[in-house]
Amino acid sequence: MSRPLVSGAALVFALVGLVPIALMLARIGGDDMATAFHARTGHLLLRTLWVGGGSALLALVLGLPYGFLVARTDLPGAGFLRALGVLPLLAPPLVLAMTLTVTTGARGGFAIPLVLGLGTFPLVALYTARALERIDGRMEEAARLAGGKRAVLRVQLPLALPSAATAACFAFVLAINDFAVPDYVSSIGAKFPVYADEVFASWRSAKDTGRAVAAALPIVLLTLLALVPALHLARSTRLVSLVGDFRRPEPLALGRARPIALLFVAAVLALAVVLPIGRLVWEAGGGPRGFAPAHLRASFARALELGRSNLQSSLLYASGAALLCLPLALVLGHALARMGRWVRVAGMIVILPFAVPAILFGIGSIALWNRPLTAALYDSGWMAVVLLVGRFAPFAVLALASAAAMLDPRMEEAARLAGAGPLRRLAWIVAPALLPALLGAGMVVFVLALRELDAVILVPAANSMVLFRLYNAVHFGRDDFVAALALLVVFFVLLPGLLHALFGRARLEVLP
Amino acid sequence: MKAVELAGVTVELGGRRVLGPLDLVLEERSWTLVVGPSGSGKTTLLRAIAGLVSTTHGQIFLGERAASSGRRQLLPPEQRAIGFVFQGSGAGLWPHLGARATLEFVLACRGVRRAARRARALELLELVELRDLAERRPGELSGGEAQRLALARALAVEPRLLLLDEPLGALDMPLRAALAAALAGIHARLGPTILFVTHDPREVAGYAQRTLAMRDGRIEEAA
Amino acid sequence: MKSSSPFLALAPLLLAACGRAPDLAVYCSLDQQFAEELMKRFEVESGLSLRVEYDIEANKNVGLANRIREERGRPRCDVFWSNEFAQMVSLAGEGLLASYGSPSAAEVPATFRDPEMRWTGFAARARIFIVNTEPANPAEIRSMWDLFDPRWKGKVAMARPLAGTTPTHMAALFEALGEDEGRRYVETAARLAADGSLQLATGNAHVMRLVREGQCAFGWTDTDDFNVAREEGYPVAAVYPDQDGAGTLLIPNTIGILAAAPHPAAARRFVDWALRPEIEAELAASRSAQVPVRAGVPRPAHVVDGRAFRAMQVDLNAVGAKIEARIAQFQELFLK
Repeated sequence: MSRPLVSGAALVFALVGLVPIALMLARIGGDDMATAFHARTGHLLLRTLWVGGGSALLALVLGLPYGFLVARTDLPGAGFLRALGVLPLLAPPLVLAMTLTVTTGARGGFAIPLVLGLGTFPLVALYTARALERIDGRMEEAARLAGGKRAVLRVQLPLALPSAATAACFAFVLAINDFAVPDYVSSIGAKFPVYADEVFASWRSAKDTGRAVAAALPIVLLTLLALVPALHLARSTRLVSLVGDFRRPEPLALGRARPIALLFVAAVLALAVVLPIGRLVWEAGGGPRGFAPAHLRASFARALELGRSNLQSSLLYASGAALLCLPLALVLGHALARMGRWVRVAGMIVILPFAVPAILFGIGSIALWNRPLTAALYDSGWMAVVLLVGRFAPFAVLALASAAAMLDPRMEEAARLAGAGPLRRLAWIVAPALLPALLGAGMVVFVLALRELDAVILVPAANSMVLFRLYNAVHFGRDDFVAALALLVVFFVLLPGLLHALFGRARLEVLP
Repeated sequence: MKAVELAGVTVELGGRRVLGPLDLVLEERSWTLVVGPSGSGKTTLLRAIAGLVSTTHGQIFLGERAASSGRRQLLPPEQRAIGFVFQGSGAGLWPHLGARATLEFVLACRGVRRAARRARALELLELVELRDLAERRPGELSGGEAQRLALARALAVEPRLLLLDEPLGALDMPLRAALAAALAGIHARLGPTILFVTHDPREVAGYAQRTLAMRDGRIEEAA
Repeated sequence: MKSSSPFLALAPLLLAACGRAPDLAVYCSLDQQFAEELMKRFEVESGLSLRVEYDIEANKNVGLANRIREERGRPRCDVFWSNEFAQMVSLAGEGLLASYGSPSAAEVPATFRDPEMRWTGFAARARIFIVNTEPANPAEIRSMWDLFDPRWKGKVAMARPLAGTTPTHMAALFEALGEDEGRRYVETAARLAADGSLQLATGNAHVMRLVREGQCAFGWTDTDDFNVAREEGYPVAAVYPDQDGAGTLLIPNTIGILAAAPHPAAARRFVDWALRPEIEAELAASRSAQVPVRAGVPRPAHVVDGRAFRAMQVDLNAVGAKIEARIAQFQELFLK
């Protein structure tokens, strides 16, 4: 590790990701902690735990078998189903909420975890699939010789569970920070307020930002508490080094279980993918007024006409953020993987920019960057890029750390003995070996940046982003235009993955 | 003349002493075997000499230069002119670089000019009988070929000291003999000091001048 | 109009402004799709170039107000055009707005002007009931209290009064009805929402959808949301409640110049332009169907005359000054 390089990268990360948070925390005054919390706080937090726990459980129940089926069995079209299964994670959660509530009539406190769990099950599926693919084929062969397919499953499950649990923790975090879905789903029938509502409402009356920041602390703490086991489990699931004599396992034959497996996968995809996308297409084509292909074409034409420059802006900012995250992630991720006993603490610090509410991060960024010295940056489109890097670099850093930890350390030792300095080792030995992880991390940051608005909304560049136009159009019931624009956003969010699936050779590592 | 001297060296890892205290002198151009059961500290000894693991107590000298003293590393690994062949399949080879590219990378690190690198790399490949496989990546080489590439990589450093950690372990009998003979030829031609860790001293017994037996991190006997 | 074009920013990193800096920066929470055309018109008519920052509906105007507060160390905004008044009053109370009596505001009624001339109201939205005429007869819905009629249990809706115009509306009730009656109204709403008798929507647009699609019979919304449903041919009618009582609340757009505006002269020109009756007429004719606060401003037939109904008489400054405390009250009631 090059100390100056790591220090430099850490400084950049601190500046874009941590200083905005520190500036906001510094605003908490003596009275703010007392006035931010009320008799209702405990009640709201309990509901939040219900939402988070329920969502995580459903994500686990759906994602574990889904990941197993698409990664390790001879399910027809497994590769395609695996890619399709990612879609719910990439689409705005509110779209899923709207379609599910309309089609199923599900409402209230029980429906909220249903919607959020369906939206996040792909996380569990992705982690499960990755874990199962990393089981050395010889372990499974030994199990098969001992006790057939059942024995294989009994070997696989304990090895996949920690990864699935990691993803369930992430699903929990996403669920507890969402206020739009609970608000929408419980808008008919008894209202089901959650703590995220409290956080959102605090900012509505926030002349006193200190109190609003204080109000956000419980959810930040909950988020961090959920991420501690997630990071620990992620580290413990690094089973094998993929460089060396690792043997990829063979797909398991489903046999008579194949129809049930197909039915399960179809049901999940129907609820989580077909319904929301289908509804968007229906809305774009005229919706309740009657679907017409001509109307669909007109909606897309209008969406492209009005939203083209916004799409361009968003794609540019997302691409910029993804590119800038990569060197940061390479240096810091590699350092994190080699850190030894401080890795847990470092991991918690790295995740902070994502753990705080988006608006807190956005306002902190204004406080940091709206100064005479950085005026040109603040006023430009680069401000959106800087903010997106700060917010999503944690994913890239942790993904690279995970991948770097799996690298054979002898590769770097050999380079060191050959006389290669730290920079040279990083550029010529580590980076090429981590290329799949770099590409994957870049893709994740691109996707997250493309669908992000809450953190960026407060900076000037937000006006030119596509979600800005989309959310404003929703207000005025331009359903067909909104649906067409939303479909375009989903398409562009999927595009990097599609392109890679079609043309890419290297296998991607996307998960922290 | 001394190529390597260890004086009172210990290594602690995770609060546990895994090596030493031990004293050791290797003469220049000598070939020393290190044998012992698994966990006896053989690999740690090599890694300590290479500077890949820090000593806790004692001193290591490489020629006249102090390389480490106590916990302080006075000479970093990249300046020790040590060639190291790692244990196990893969041997720390770089999967994205072909055989020739691997050696050219090392030569670049050593400051060899671009014009001379290719020729030198091919020379080294010739030495280990891999010239025809110059463009193959480690994943495309057999076990024996990969070990020979690892050896060539170690030699590219122009080492005064060659550390080999069970380089023949993954190979079948005929290959072991062939590689041992090749190594002997290189030793005769280029004259590096060799410290060779092995489970089976018979495979190179005829070439080594001395054998050290290790147990529980200490040298039990020298022969 | 100069927006934050990313292609300008692709020039050397951290460059100073590439090309001409704008003459004026306006923060506008009027919906972008209505405001954009107006802003372009101003640029053409005035020859000044604008940088306009909009807000998203989800932020309900508070995003821009917060940004103005955060940027006070280096103000970037010259003019704040808000689609309501509460945040404007808050900013005025914090000393962030300059005093300016625009000649264009001469005909604006005093109720829609700050006595200290820090802001001026125009082009209002009315807080109405949107009624689906199939299950409900609009003539039978006359009072705000009809929302709580057991006959309509589970079939009425309002937005949660934590963001947007709804908390402003509820806060205004305290001024118009008195503290006790205002509290009774809000507490009743909270109680009925808790047991599902009153649907708490995510916003006024959501109320509009619930009613137009028949899931609810009627609910509180703004006239601009109502107009969307009307234009799309849904069976809806607007009821201006309490014509025999407290009246219907009008929530005006408000406009103010920042005290530390970087371009004060250009800011005054913009305010003078925006407060002209022609602009109010444009907003009345647009899809947002804003109600002119001045007499004699041309408007389409479906936009009600501001004097043709009883408007709620409230001191907008008083409502705005207490908005934070009221929202805290509403949080207590609606976030249980």
